[in-house]
Amino acid sequence: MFKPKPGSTIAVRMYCQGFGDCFLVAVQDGGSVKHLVIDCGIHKNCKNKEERMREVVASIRKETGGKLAALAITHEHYDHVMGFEFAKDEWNKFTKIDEIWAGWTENEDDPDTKRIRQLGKDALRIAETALHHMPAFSLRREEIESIFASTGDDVRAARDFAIQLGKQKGATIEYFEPMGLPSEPRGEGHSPAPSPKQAIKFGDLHLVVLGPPRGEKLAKMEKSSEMFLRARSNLDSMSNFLGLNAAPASDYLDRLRQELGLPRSGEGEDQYQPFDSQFRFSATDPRWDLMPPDERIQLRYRSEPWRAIDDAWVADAADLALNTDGITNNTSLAFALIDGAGKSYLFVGDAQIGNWQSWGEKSYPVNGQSIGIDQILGNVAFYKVGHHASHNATMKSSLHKMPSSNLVSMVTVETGFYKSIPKAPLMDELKRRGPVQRMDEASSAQAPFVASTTISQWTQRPLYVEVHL
Amino acid sequence: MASQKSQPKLENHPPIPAYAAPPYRELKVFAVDPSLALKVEALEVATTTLSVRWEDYQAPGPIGEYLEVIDIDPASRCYYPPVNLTRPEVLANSGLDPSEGDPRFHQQMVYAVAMKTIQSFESALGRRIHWASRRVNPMKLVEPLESVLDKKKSLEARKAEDEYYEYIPHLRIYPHALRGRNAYYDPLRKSLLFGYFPADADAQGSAISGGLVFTALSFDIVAHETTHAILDGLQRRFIEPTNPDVLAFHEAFADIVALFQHFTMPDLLEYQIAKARGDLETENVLAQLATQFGEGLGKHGALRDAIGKIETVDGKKQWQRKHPDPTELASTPEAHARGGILVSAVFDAFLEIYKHRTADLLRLASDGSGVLRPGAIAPDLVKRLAEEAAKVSKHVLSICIRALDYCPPIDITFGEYLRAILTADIELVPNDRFGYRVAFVHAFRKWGIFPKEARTLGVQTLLWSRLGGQIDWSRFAAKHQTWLERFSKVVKRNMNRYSVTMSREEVWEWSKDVRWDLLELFDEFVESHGDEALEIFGIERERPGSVNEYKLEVHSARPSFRIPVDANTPPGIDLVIQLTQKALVQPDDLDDVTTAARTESAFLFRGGSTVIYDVERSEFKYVIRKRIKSKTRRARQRDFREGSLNLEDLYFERFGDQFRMLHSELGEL
Repeated sequence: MFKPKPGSTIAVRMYCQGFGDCFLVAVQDGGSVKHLVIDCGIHKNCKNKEERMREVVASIRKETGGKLAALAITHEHYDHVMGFEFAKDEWNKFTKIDEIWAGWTENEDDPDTKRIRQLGKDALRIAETALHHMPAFSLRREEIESIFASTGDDVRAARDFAIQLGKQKGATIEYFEPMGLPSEPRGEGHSPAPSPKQAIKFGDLHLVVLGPPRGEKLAKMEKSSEMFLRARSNLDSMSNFLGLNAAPASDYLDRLRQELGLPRSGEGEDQYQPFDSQFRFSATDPRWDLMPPDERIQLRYRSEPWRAIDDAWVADAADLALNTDGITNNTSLAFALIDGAGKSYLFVGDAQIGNWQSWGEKSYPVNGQSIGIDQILGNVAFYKVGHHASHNATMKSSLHKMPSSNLVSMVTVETGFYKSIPKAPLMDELKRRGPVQRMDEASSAQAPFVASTTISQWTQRPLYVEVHL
Repeated sequence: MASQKSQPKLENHPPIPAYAAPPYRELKVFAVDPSLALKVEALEVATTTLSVRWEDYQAPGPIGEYLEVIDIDPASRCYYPPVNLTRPEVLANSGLDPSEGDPRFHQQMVYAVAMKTIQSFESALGRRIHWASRRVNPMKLVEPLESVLDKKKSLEARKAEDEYYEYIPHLRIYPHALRGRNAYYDPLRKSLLFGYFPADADAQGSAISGGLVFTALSFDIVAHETTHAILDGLQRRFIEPTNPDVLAFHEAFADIVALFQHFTMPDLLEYQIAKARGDLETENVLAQLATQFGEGLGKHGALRDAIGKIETVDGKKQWQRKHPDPTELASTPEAHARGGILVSAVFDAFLEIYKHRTADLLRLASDGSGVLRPGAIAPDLVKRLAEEAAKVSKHVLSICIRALDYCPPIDITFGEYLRAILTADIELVPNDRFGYRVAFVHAFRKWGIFPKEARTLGVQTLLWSRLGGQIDWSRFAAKHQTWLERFSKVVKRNMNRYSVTMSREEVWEWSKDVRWDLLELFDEFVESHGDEALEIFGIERERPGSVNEYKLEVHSARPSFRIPVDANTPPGIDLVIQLTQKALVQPDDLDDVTTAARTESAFLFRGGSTVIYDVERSEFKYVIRKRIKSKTRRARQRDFREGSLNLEDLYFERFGDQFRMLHSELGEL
């Protein structure tokens, strides 16, 4: 049984299956112990994904006796949820799950969720369509595919399975709203913030849900976050493009246009055109022949292919893919567990800056006391580093508020996946503040980290690394 | 051909009287963008007529000497027929009337505004501008890292490599290239791409939700993008982001040129001066950029503002005057925001000079108090103030442009730009009667911009130091007399071949010859006097055959004319020579890469200097050095590389996309 060592209140175990998140947390519960699993995923480009994940989940089942107090799903990305699918059989052998923790962003009946998902869905479809039907797009096929590898129908199915699993094993499903009360009193006539919540008890600790944001803060994130803005704009230009381009005509495109509320090929083109039809000339327009030869600019245009701009819009599709990816990261469930001494243990999924920014300017009632985000950050004893330590998933000003020594961090990262993940300056800053454990350095784990003696035959490194705090 | 046929030889008769080509062609444009035409009180100044240098077009488009406008809209899958500016209907009307609904007017406007921008540069520099050459083979903006490792090449082989660079006569302009909130200069296509988009649902001010916003109809955006292209032609390495200032400088400079174009339109200027009662420190369109674009994005007001910002006061959004904060620079890494600080500094310098030069007018108009009575100010005063503003803005813009010749060839910083501004100006105007240089130093200091190495911030200490003052020049001159004489001969020979009547392509070819002549001379000097080459010219001895051989390149050579503004200063010609070298550097210890095997994590690092050579006096005046072995710069570039990766860098690495990403849909053109 996995439990905190005597004198510790919490134990955190990072599984080392490969680029992706799967954490097992054990907390003291008056003499007894409660288990929490956070995410179960692995990057698409890892080898032997099924075998690796089955090994991990079997280990979790053994260490928990098949009983979980909670299962947290931070967000719907391949490297955070596909393990549910790959190790389905193992998961089905669990006997009890008390709670499923997810952000409100996982509740598909929620209008905000619907809206954000629609954006992602449209984006995905448009980029996919472009990928498959527009020859110019193939220039950047590899780049786009690597991004879209993190999402898709199989990822959705894996997440759905996890929630169904919870229901089967008797869990209540918590779609968490961010907790806390607005710290500034509102003026008269304003209704109070929606459903402020007290921190809830989890074993001997308290759970404070920080994000994803909601209400005004959500609006602020959507309005100010560059990826939301960019994605919208990319989407505009891309859907305009598809709305106009009848060729290549295909059932697929027509169906897509219908879903996006665009006219069918050949219909209603005029509404998207910036100028009257008299100004619009096709390449083979018979009117060209009636004009003086030097006015036939299409000839000049075609004579210098290196200057052609037929595929300039392709860049928009790539941006769209990228920004959609960021949006999903920002729907991450971010939370802190806070112990009796006020120490906090921070798990942020892949939350990017917009999510982090929403945590401030309010107070969190914990165990009868009201604390602010600065206090929570100032007392972080453990940090699950956001988004594999990429450059924009740990807000600098927040990191600077965390303790300058003895900060214990874990990073689910392997090199060779992305050029600048992990981000070197961020890793340096973390190391200045305390011990840091990377997944791919499990075999050389040093105190306070302890690596498993079991070496995985699939990764050739310890199955997990844990720390007791 | 036609003229020969129609003119049989008439001996003993004078020729048939000819018509002289007019100096200018008048073309109508929107003075700011279409948004102003929706305001009743501004209707009279919403459009203006630009005087564009007369040229005979190669074809409608227009396709002239510098620009070719090709109006294809791939997203709409159509071409728009080109405007023919030579038709009598168009000529007699000063071009087509401003209209959002006629793409031919859009073509006319991008052409006219881009030409006007080119003219600003040529009048400041006294020479013709060139577009950046195109590297044909391999078709890459920057050579691949491996080529740094090439074995030492013979001069002939290096000359052959130079032929990879192709002369680009025309900057191409696509007025409707994209459906999107973007417009950018594409250094690979040597083209400006303008987008259009429907205004946001929460569009502000004059923008109508869903109404189309054309970036090609924004005077500011066209001037800004054209400036990017001109700057790239002048300083090709300024698109290599080696420190946080480089791309910010590109943005700031493009904004500065666009802003000061406002002051070239007398009607708009007088209207604003009347409205602001002469006080240009209040909210006014002269200091703002891309109003309609900003409002179309749902922003409150213009995209950028040199002197103010929108702040929420008591729940209401209000314009507030920006106050200089010397600490802001350190905490502002993003290129546009950082560039905005430089723009504000330059604009504040302009305002200070304007206030200084108009104080007498205000005293005259206020019975000596200098405080105007409330209410509208007299039309005569408006006119005089506008004249002063126009004059000062022209001077300030010229100073900013001329400073480009005094910048290092690579790795520019804001502080170095300040030094370049001051030095370029003192070369032209030795005594600073109106306090221009003091105003620049003052404004820059308030915004926290000064060179790191500066010990004091007086004008004199900030000037680049004359070569004579730095070393024992006479000893050097005596020792290397023969080399200096040969240098002088080569320069004079080449300058004698230079003429203002040469075509731009001939000048480009000329410059290529000069570069190779000078390379031979420098190569020889560096080879035999390595220590002095380093001390004086800031260049390291070449090391043939090693991994890092510091191959020397004469990056550019161009004449810089000093056309004096007062009678006491003689005119003159300088030759501006840019020398560059490159190395592969190991990020951990910042040493040179020594074996080919260690190049994977290495980064490309450049050194070099700008040499200003007085042609008539055969004298090296300034050498602005950036040494290739500088550990400080190496560390700075490494740290910047590691700390500055943008969103897209997470997944891709593409060079040359800086402008597209910078000018992305965020509303940062």
